[in-house]
Amino acid sequence: MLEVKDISKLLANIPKGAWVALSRDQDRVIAYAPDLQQVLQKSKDAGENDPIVTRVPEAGTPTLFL
Amino acid sequence: MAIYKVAYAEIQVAATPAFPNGRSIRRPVLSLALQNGARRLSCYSVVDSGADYCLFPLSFMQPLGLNPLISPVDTTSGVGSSSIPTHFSNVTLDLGLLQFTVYAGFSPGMEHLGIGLLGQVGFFERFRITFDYANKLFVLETH
Repeated sequence: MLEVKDISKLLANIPKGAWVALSRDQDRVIAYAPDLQQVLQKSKDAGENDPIVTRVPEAGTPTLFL
Repeated sequence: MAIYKVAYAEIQVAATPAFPNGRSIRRPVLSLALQNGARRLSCYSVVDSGADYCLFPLSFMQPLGLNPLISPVDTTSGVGSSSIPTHFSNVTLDLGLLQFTVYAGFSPGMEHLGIGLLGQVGFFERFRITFDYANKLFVLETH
Protein backbone atom coordinates (compact mmCIF):
# COMPACT_ATOMS: atom_id res chain seq x y z
CA MET A 1 0.00 0.00 0.00
CA LEU A 2 0.93 3.70 -0.41
CA GLU A 3 3.50 3.69 -3.24
CA VAL A 4 2.15 4.04 -6.76
CA LYS A 5 3.75 2.50 -9.84
CA ASP A 6 3.68 3.95 -13.34
CA ILE A 7 0.76 2.00 -14.80
CA SER A 8 0.56 3.96 -18.04
CA LYS A 9 1.89 1.00 -20.10
CA LEU A 10 -0.67 -1.32 -18.51
CA LEU A 11 -3.45 1.05 -19.54
CA ALA A 12 -2.13 1.74 -23.04
CA ASN A 13 -4.43 -0.71 -24.86
CA ILE A 14 -7.54 -0.23 -22.75
CA PRO A 15 -10.38 1.91 -24.13
CA LYS A 16 -10.34 5.56 -23.12
CA GLY A 17 -12.64 6.28 -20.22
CA ALA A 18 -12.83 2.66 -19.04
CA TRP A 19 -12.68 1.75 -15.38
CA VAL A 20 -9.84 -0.63 -14.61
CA ALA A 21 -9.22 -3.12 -11.80
CA LEU A 22 -5.54 -3.66 -11.07
CA SER A 23 -3.84 -6.38 -9.06
CA ARG A 24 -2.68 -5.43 -5.57
CA ASP A 25 0.93 -5.33 -6.77
CA GLN A 26 -0.10 -2.95 -9.62
CA ASP A 27 1.59 -5.23 -12.16
CA ARG A 28 -1.49 -6.65 -13.87
CA VAL A 29 -4.86 -5.55 -15.23
CA ILE A 30 -7.52 -7.89 -13.86
CA ALA A 31 -10.49 -6.41 -15.68
CA TYR A 32 -11.86 -3.31 -17.35
CA ALA A 33 -15.39 -2.13 -18.08
CA PRO A 34 -17.39 1.01 -18.92
CA ASP A 35 -18.53 1.50 -15.33
CA LEU A 36 -17.22 0.89 -11.84
CA GLN A 37 -19.84 -1.68 -10.81
CA GLN A 38 -19.06 -3.87 -13.81
CA VAL A 39 -15.32 -3.77 -13.28
CA LEU A 40 -15.69 -4.68 -9.61
CA GLN A 41 -17.93 -7.62 -10.52
CA LYS A 42 -15.49 -8.81 -13.19
CA SER A 43 -12.64 -8.57 -10.72
CA LYS A 44 -14.59 -10.54 -8.12
CA ASP A 45 -15.38 -13.19 -10.74
CA ALA A 46 -11.64 -13.38 -11.45
CA GLY A 47 -10.95 -14.01 -7.77
CA GLU A 48 -9.79 -10.54 -6.68
CA ASN A 49 -12.20 -8.98 -4.18
CA ASP A 50 -10.09 -5.91 -3.41
CA PRO A 51 -8.50 -4.63 -6.63
CA ILE A 52 -7.12 -1.13 -7.01
CA VAL A 53 -9.55 0.75 -9.23
CA THR A 54 -8.78 3.67 -11.47
CA ARG A 55 -9.87 5.07 -14.79
CA VAL A 56 -8.17 5.40 -18.16
CA PRO A 57 -8.00 9.06 -19.14
CA GLU A 58 -10.42 10.19 -21.82
CA ALA A 59 -9.14 10.91 -25.31
CA GLY A 60 -7.22 14.14 -25.45
CA THR A 61 -6.06 13.81 -21.86
CA PRO A 62 -2.49 12.60 -22.07
CA THR A 63 -1.84 12.58 -18.36
CA LEU A 64 -2.62 9.66 -16.12
CA PHE A 65 -4.21 11.59 -13.32
CA LEU A 66 -5.16 15.27 -13.29
CA MET B 1 4.75 9.44 15.87
CA ALA B 2 4.92 7.61 12.54
CA ILE B 3 6.78 8.70 9.43
CA TYR B 4 5.89 7.55 5.93
CA LYS B 5 8.38 8.25 3.16
CA VAL B 6 6.69 7.77 -0.20
CA ALA B 7 8.18 8.01 -3.68
CA TYR B 8 6.47 10.34 -6.10
CA ALA B 9 4.57 8.49 -8.81
CA GLU B 10 6.45 8.97 -12.09
CA ILE B 11 4.35 8.86 -15.22
CA GLN B 12 5.78 8.84 -18.73
CA VAL B 13 3.62 10.82 -21.11
CA ALA B 14 3.78 10.67 -24.91
CA ALA B 15 4.67 13.70 -27.00
CA THR B 16 2.04 16.38 -27.55
CA PRO B 17 2.27 19.68 -29.47
CA ALA B 18 3.07 21.44 -26.20
CA PHE B 19 5.67 18.87 -25.19
CA PRO B 20 7.06 17.49 -28.48
CA ASN B 21 9.71 15.37 -26.73
CA GLY B 22 7.28 13.74 -24.33
CA ARG B 23 7.71 14.23 -20.63
CA SER B 24 7.85 12.62 -17.25
CA ILE B 25 5.35 13.81 -14.67
CA ARG B 26 5.88 13.41 -10.92
CA ARG B 27 2.86 13.44 -8.64
CA PRO B 28 2.42 12.87 -4.90
CA VAL B 29 -0.03 9.98 -5.16
CA LEU B 30 -0.92 7.31 -2.62
CA SER B 31 -2.46 3.89 -3.04
CA LEU B 32 -4.98 3.51 -0.22
CA ALA B 33 -8.36 2.04 0.58
CA LEU B 34 -11.67 3.58 1.60
CA GLN B 35 -13.67 1.63 4.14
CA ASN B 36 -17.19 1.82 5.50
CA GLY B 37 -17.68 -1.00 7.96
CA ALA B 38 -16.86 -4.23 6.16
CA ARG B 39 -17.04 -2.60 2.72
CA ARG B 40 -13.80 -1.55 1.10
CA LEU B 41 -12.59 0.07 -2.11
CA SER B 42 -8.92 0.54 -3.04
CA CYS B 43 -7.89 3.45 -5.23
CA TYR B 44 -5.25 6.06 -5.99
CA SER B 45 -5.40 9.50 -4.40
CA VAL B 46 -3.38 12.66 -4.96
CA VAL B 47 -2.05 14.51 -1.92
CA ASP B 48 -3.50 17.89 -2.93
CA SER B 49 -2.78 20.95 -0.80
CA GLY B 50 -5.20 22.91 -2.99
CA ALA B 51 -8.18 20.77 -2.04
CA ASP B 52 -10.19 21.92 0.98
CA TYR B 53 -11.55 18.44 1.70
CA CYS B 54 -10.91 14.87 0.65
CA LEU B 55 -12.85 14.21 -2.51
CA PHE B 56 -13.65 11.04 -4.46
CA PRO B 57 -15.75 10.00 -7.47
CA LEU B 58 -19.47 9.81 -6.75
CA SER B 59 -19.62 6.21 -7.99
CA PHE B 60 -17.37 5.13 -5.09
CA MET B 61 -20.35 5.54 -2.74
CA GLN B 62 -22.29 2.51 -3.95
CA PRO B 63 -19.60 -0.17 -3.39
CA LEU B 64 -18.93 1.41 0.00
CA GLY B 65 -22.59 1.07 0.96
CA LEU B 66 -23.08 4.83 1.17
CA ASN B 67 -26.34 6.32 -0.09
CA PRO B 68 -26.03 9.69 -1.87
CA LEU B 69 -29.77 10.25 -1.51
CA ILE B 70 -29.47 10.60 2.27
CA SER B 71 -26.01 12.20 2.37
CA PRO B 72 -25.77 15.96 2.93
CA VAL B 73 -24.88 17.96 -0.18
CA ASP B 74 -22.64 20.95 -0.73
CA THR B 75 -21.15 22.34 -3.92
CA THR B 76 -17.51 22.16 -4.97
CA SER B 77 -15.55 23.89 -7.69
CA GLY B 78 -12.31 23.14 -9.49
CA VAL B 79 -10.46 23.72 -12.71
CA GLY B 80 -13.04 23.94 -15.48
CA SER B 81 -16.02 23.37 -13.24
CA SER B 82 -18.06 25.15 -10.60
CA SER B 83 -21.01 24.46 -8.30
CA ILE B 84 -20.79 20.68 -8.62
CA PRO B 85 -23.17 19.00 -6.15
CA THR B 86 -21.06 16.90 -3.82
CA HIS B 87 -22.33 14.37 -1.29
CA PHE B 88 -20.55 14.20 2.05
CA SER B 89 -20.13 11.23 4.34
CA ASN B 90 -17.75 9.82 6.93
CA VAL B 91 -15.43 7.20 5.52
CA THR B 92 -12.30 5.52 6.85
CA LEU B 93 -9.02 5.96 4.99
CA ASP B 94 -6.81 2.88 5.30
CA LEU B 95 -3.14 3.68 4.68
CA GLY B 96 -1.98 0.26 5.80
CA LEU B 97 -0.43 0.86 9.19
CA LEU B 98 -2.73 3.80 9.86
CA GLN B 99 -6.49 4.16 9.56
CA PHE B 100 -8.61 7.20 10.35
CA THR B 101 -12.05 8.55 9.55
CA VAL B 102 -12.56 11.63 7.40
CA TYR B 103 -15.64 13.58 6.37
CA ALA B 104 -15.18 13.28 2.61
CA GLY B 105 -17.01 14.48 -0.47
CA PHE B 106 -18.15 12.27 -3.35
CA SER B 107 -18.58 14.20 -6.55
CA PRO B 108 -19.59 13.58 -10.17
CA GLY B 109 -16.82 16.06 -10.98
CA MET B 110 -14.27 13.38 -10.01
CA GLU B 111 -15.78 10.64 -12.18
CA HIS B 112 -13.66 11.25 -15.26
CA LEU B 113 -10.48 10.99 -13.17
CA GLY B 114 -11.31 7.85 -11.21
CA ILE B 115 -9.05 8.87 -8.34
CA GLY B 116 -9.34 10.74 -5.07
CA LEU B 117 -7.95 14.00 -3.71
CA LEU B 118 -6.57 14.18 -0.17
CA GLY B 119 -7.21 17.71 1.03
CA GLN B 120 -6.62 20.03 3.97
CA VAL B 121 -9.51 18.98 6.20
CA GLY B 122 -9.26 15.32 7.10
CA PHE B 123 -5.80 14.66 5.66
CA PHE B 124 -3.35 17.57 5.92
CA GLU B 125 -4.61 18.30 9.43
CA ARG B 126 -3.31 14.89 10.52
CA PHE B 127 0.22 15.10 9.12
CA ARG B 128 3.18 17.37 8.73
CA ILE B 129 3.79 16.90 5.01
CA THR B 130 7.05 17.60 3.20
CA PHE B 131 7.16 17.63 -0.59
CA ASP B 132 10.72 16.97 -1.78
CA TYR B 133 10.21 17.12 -5.53
CA ALA B 134 13.92 17.22 -6.39
CA ASN B 135 14.52 13.97 -4.52
CA LYS B 136 11.29 12.40 -5.81
CA LEU B 137 9.94 11.89 -2.33
CA PHE B 138 7.19 13.16 -0.07
CA VAL B 139 7.00 12.53 3.65
CA LEU B 140 3.95 12.16 5.87
CA GLU B 141 4.66 12.63 9.55
CA THR B 142 1.87 12.15 12.06
CA HIS B 143 1.43 14.88 14.69
